[in-house]
Amino acid sequence: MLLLAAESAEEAANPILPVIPEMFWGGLMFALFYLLMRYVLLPPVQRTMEDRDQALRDEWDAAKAAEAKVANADAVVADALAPARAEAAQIIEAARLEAEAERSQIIGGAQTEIDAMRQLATAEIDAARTEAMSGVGSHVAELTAQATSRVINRPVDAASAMGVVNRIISERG
Amino acid sequence: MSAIASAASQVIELAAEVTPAEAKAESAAASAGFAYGLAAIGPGIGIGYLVGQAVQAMARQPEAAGQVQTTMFLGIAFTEALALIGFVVFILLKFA
Amino acid sequence: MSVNLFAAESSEGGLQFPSIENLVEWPAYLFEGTFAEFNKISLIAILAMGIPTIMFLAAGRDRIPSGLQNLVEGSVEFIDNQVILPAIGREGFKFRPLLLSIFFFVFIGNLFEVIPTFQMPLNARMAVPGLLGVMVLIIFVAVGFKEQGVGGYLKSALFPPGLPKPLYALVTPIELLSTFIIRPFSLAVRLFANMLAGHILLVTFGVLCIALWQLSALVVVLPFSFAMLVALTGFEIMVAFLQGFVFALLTAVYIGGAMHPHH
Repeated sequence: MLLLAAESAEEAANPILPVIPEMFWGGLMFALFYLLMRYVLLPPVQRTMEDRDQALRDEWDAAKAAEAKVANADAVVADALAPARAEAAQIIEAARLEAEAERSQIIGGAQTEIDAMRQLATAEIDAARTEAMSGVGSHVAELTAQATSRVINRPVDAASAMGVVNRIISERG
Repeated sequence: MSAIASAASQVIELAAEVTPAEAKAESAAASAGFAYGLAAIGPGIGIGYLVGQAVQAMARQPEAAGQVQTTMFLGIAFTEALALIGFVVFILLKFA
Repeated sequence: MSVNLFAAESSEGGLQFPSIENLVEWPAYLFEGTFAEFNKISLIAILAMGIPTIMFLAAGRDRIPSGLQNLVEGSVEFIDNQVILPAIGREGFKFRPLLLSIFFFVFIGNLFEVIPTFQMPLNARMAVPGLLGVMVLIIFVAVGFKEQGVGGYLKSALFPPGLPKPLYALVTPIELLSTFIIRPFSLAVRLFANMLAGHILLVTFGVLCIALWQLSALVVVLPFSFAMLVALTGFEIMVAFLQGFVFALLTAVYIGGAMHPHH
């Protein structure tokens, strides 16, 4: 809907060419601005920024130094603690060894006692068995002698029967 | 729409009586549009490609985004200059 | 200050778009006809110098920055980190005042594009961009002469090393043209054309809004046109900043190129 206006025939200078007054004012103002920026405006701002940077750097360095000091103190403490630690370890080791010895000693004592009791009991059992066996042997020998004398109608010596029975028992267990 | 009618009648009036100077101004005005339109094609494609690639670079390496951005603006400035010269030619043809 | 930007409606009812002279040329307030004719552009130039000056003077000098001091120190750090370090390196810090003043002068001058009652970017006139472009040319050539000597700089600028001999017949004229003519020209035209285009864009939508307000049948389209105007205003603020940044960055790149040749 816009209808561009037809160009009027007036002979004006080309509107995009620079004109002297505007160049004069623009150039003057830019030159002034540059000089101001160079000598008046920028230096204090820059100084403020540099001061701040410097202060931050100083604080950073201080923090770094404090950190190093803390690390140093840690090392000192660790050094001081090292002998105490070693001593403690030694004591613990000695106590452990002692306890170990005591334990083995106690166990050994108990073991010998148990062994003695067991031996005693075994001997008792053996004695009882031998006694029983000999009782059984004489009885069997007597019975055997009687039976044999009945069978062969001749008196049989109980002592010789005893020897045979004893041999058989010892053979059969 | 009386506006269209009046515009048409104005064009017809212009066509009816043309002096050589008017004819020259008219053809200059007509070619001015073409000058700018043609000048805008290449830089349009170029800037589109450039920014696309820059975005891809930034997506791949986000830590380099600042540098890519600066380079991208530089590239846009160089590419855009062609379209802008076309625009100046348009102004020259249209109003000189 | 009420220049009639906008010849509202012609008798036939069609909208007369203001001609470009009405958009960018301003009547003189003072000294009309002399070399120091004072008009709106001159006023904006003074403000573009004065506002950052006042900002820097009014900023605090505290250990813990706040408010304006944050802004000022932030901009100094921005120029350091985004412009000087990537483009020149640590030895470029001596150009800090130059780059800062370029950045602020261009940025604040551009910003008047969206400031009510001014609504005119300083750099939509060729005067300031042109001067700055020529100044940048002089500065980077001078830096090159100082750092590498006259012959050394011309040799590194015009005869890039590592090319077969016959190719120099082609390369040297191109380098001559691109370094000493196209660089300042494109620097000036980039800034100028960006701001002029933005200005025309804003004027177009502003005029459209007024025209739609007056043409009762089309008033339904007005919200869209107005939303576009608001969006473009925001966009132009970004462009104003970006152009200041790019101008400073390119200046730094050219200076850096003149300082170390094989960058």
